[in-house]
Amino acid sequence: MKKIDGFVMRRLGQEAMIVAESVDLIDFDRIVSLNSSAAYVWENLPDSDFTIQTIIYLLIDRYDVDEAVARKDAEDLVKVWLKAGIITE
Amino acid sequence: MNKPRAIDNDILLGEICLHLSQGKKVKLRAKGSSMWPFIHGDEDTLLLTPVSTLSKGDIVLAYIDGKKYVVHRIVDLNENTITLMGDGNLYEKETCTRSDIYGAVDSIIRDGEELSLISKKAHMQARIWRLLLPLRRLKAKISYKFNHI
Repeated sequence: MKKIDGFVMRRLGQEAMIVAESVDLIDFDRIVSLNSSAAYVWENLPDSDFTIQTIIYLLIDRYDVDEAVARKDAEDLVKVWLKAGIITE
Repeated sequence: MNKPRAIDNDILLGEICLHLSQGKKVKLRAKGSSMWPFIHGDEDTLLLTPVSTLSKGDIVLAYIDGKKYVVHRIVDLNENTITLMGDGNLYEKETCTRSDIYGAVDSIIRDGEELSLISKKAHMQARIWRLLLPLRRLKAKISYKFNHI
């Protein structure tokens, strides 16, 4: 999987969100809101390819959760992000 | 995982003003009905551009009294004061200064189509709509009486 070019995470107060950005335009029309753990994952994912395992490792590393829990969260996250069109398979 | 909270509109608009003042254009979903019929809340996407010159009839994003953001039309302006009014509003007006204005809505996207709000035709329609204000006020008064007696 890979982040789609042009989607940038922004923090507004306590909230984090993904917006589409180009050189002269920022699109706040289709915002993808992120909770704190999703924001952490996004920030730490590489710009190059990653797998579901990359996300699982990030979650275990930060939150000290069981792999099964991390896997379920990672799968949910990927599903939401694919549907939102901010990552590609 | 916990669900993300909805982003507070004022925080979002504050961020948008910042980008506009840095010279960027911004897309944003319209909210509310105060600019009806020219802007449909929750349906239209606004294309906001940084402001250069201001004229009567322009639709602008302004921060009023350090309290609230509005996207309303300039109905009057002089050296120091700018008066705004929502096209859908009957009485309520806002006043602000030039420095309170962060962006102008040059066009909207509705059903995938970009519609200009600064074309001659759009300005003419807005002028006619404004000339009808006494009639719109009267209509509101009549329908209020019918509904409340």
